[in-house]
Amino acid sequence: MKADTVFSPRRAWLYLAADLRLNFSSILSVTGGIAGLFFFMHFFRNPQEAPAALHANQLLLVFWLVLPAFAANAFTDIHKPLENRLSLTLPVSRTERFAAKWTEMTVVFALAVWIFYALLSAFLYIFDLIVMQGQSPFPIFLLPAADHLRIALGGILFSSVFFFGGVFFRKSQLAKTVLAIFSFLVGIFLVAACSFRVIFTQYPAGSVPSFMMEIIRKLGEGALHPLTANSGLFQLLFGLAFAIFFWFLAWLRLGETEAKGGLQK
Amino acid sequence: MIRLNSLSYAYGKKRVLENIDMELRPGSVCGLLGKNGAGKTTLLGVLGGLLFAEHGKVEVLGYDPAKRDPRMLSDLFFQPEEFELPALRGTDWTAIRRGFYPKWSETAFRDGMALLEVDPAQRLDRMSAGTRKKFLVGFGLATNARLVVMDEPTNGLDIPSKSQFRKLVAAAASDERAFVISTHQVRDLESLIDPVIIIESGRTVLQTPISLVSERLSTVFLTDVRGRADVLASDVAPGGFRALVPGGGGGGEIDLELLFHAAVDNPEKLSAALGRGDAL
Repeated sequence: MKADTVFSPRRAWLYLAADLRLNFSSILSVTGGIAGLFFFMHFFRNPQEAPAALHANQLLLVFWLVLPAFAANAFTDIHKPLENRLSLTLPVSRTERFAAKWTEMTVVFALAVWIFYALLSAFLYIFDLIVMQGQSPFPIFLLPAADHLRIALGGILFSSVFFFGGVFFRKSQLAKTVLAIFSFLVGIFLVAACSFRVIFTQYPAGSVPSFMMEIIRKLGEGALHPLTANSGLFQLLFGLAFAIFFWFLAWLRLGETEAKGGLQK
Repeated sequence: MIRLNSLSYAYGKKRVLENIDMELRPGSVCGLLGKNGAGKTTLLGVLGGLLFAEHGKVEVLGYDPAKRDPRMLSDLFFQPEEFELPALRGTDWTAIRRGFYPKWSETAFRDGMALLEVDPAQRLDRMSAGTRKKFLVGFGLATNARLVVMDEPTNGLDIPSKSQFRKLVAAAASDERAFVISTHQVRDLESLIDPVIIIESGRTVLQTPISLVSERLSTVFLTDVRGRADVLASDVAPGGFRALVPGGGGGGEIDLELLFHAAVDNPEKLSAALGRGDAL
């Protein structure tokens, strides 16, 4: 067995616990900040809004903004020159380190958010009952609805890019990952624009090529039904493939980062 | 325990280590001496799995350190010269790390902290640099790792702390363990180390057991060293010079600083005095 694929659940668990303890104060600060923000926002909420939709909006913010920020900073301990010397000589393999960080940014984060949000909603409910004299109190969040699970899963899968960015970039991981995504999207847009320009160059402006007419006709007849009917499943499969790809890249890159990280000034 | 064969390392085009051979057995407290920039930290980095050798064979505790096998790392404690510790109490930091070391001894940790006069309940980020270093020394020895690698552990320590450090390492040394301690302040490790390895510009200029040095060389007081071709190295002392000369051995104390100067400035003469074909 290769040394970097050695896996001991005990060591991975120890590393996870150590990492959470080391980052406890920053986790607490961010949690406090989010709680404050939600508390402030709850004064401006629409009382007529359905509870499920209200929770979905709040969870969207946590899973699609806060989680990527956390994921981008997941590996700062192995990037900081003077901190990483003790971190890199800790007896953990690359796979154990990866598994611990991955668990933190997926399962642990999701569970922590459910507990945190349930407690916060209960607090806001009691606050509204006591201070606001019970005028449409904040709805308590107990069990996540299907929509909430979809948001959480989407956020976790999306944050895989930031998780990779966290390993890949040595400094300013969040900003650099956002910039990289933006550059990639601009690149895709330019390639698409150029391709369209080349493909449609022979058609006069305003005319629609016959193969495009064929696609539109098939869509109208429902001939592409299996694709459109299962779009949720396709989205899920695409999302999973996307995330697994970036998690795998992160695992690969982690080996290189561990190798290059030692004794940097 | 450690076996290096023709180890070379370069930072880009700058060659830092060149053809280093070394063998270290359990029970040794190896002093790695050299000037600043001689390549000591790089060599320790290679041993600790933080830097990967460019050429040559490296074996530490039966493993290739470049593979960073956790089984090797759990039996090796690496203390860097410069490091940062988090804003945690020493006891909390210990609690989250000791589990990684199967042979951890709480008694050794408590005794070490007491001897080094460090309060582990204090916040690590509020400790002075010297106290942080002592805390890490105490932690490292309590891991009971078979190999302890320390880079300039006495740098920044006050005089009483240097003596406490020597006592602690001497007490922790055993037939199953080995220490590699680098320093450019050679007097800090006097009477503690055996064998001694001296590195100069990335090459080993001396690697010898202290017993051989004591047997073949002696430190003497001379009123004048001019015209004395047998003097391997000398240093001014009140009323004359302290000098390292061949012969007259018998287990007397060896001035490591003079030995260091002899190895760097007069390697051929030193090697002849030690009765070896070369200085290595």
